Amino acid sequence: MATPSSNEQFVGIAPKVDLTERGSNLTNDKRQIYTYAELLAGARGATNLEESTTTPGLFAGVSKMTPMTVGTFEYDVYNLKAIAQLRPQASSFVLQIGDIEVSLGQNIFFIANRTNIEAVDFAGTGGYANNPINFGAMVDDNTDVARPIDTLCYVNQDNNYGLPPENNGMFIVAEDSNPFECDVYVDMDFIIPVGSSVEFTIS
Amino acid sequence: MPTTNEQVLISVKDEQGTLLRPVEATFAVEYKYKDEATAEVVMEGDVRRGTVLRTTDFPSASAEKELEFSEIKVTPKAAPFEFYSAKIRRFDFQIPVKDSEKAGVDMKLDFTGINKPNKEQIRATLADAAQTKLNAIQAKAKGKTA
Repeated sequence: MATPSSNEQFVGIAPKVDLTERGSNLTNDKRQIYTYAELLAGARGATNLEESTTTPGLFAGVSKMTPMTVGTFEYDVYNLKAIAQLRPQASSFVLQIGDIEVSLGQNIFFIANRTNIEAVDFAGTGGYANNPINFGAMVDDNTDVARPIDTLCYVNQDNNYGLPPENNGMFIVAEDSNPFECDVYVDMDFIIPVGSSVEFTIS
Repeated sequence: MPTTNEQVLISVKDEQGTLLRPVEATFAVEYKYKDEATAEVVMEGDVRRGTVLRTTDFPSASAEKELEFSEIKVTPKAAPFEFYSAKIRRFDFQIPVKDSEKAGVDMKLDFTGINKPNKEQIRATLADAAQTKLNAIQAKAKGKTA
């Protein structure tokens, strides 16, 4: 079960009970209410992924998480999730996920990456290969045998791609010596000074 | 980040003051003395991650000559850094004056890309950038096998 951080308060009732909610008069403009479901499930990160109208098979979204404090600095934490398909098979892919636009003068810093690569291995050891995105992650091809990718496999954040530096383009980059394909499940957290604006545009 | 014995002489930012860490550029510091035809380059090199760090300050001007002005020139390198134009800052009768100890001389480059892009412009720029990156990794791979 998730726990509100020390500078936040829990406002909630019980599951499946629809009582009248009365807000405390100690609220301010930073008030954000945890739902009971969020606390119970420890919900973290983007749970509502938008479908791209330009990139087939791409879904992505950004959501705000519990803030964190680093020394005397307070940061908002956000989660980026995306589901993408690298296919039909090719030797190299650069797939644009979307753009994260932040407040003027701010940079984002990624602090966690749980991105998963999934490949079929039906004719190998059977089933699917699931492993963290990186050099050596398992991918597959028309033989349905998973093998390690041998060149590039990462998520690229670029705030110098033709738009102002507050616009962060997010791309999946993958390359192998031979044609391959795989599915990518992006799950990354980033921080930005508390109160900054964050707007996501799916590709 | 400067090491303990380094200081920031120049910071390369955009017009709004964001440090342009990804932009690779060259810089030159020139002193022009009165009655001399050309300026003297007293310092030059690469801007790395948005800053110029040195263990020494800007050099003093010659005591024997009269300084007309000093200039700092920052020139972004070729693609993919062409979204910012080159900039010159001139300091009349003196060597470069730092805007702050922390940032040194602020060089605010003009952005030449799309300002305040709408969603369609963002998507189009993302697609262009993805193609540029794909071309780059394919060219690199081709170079390895050639």
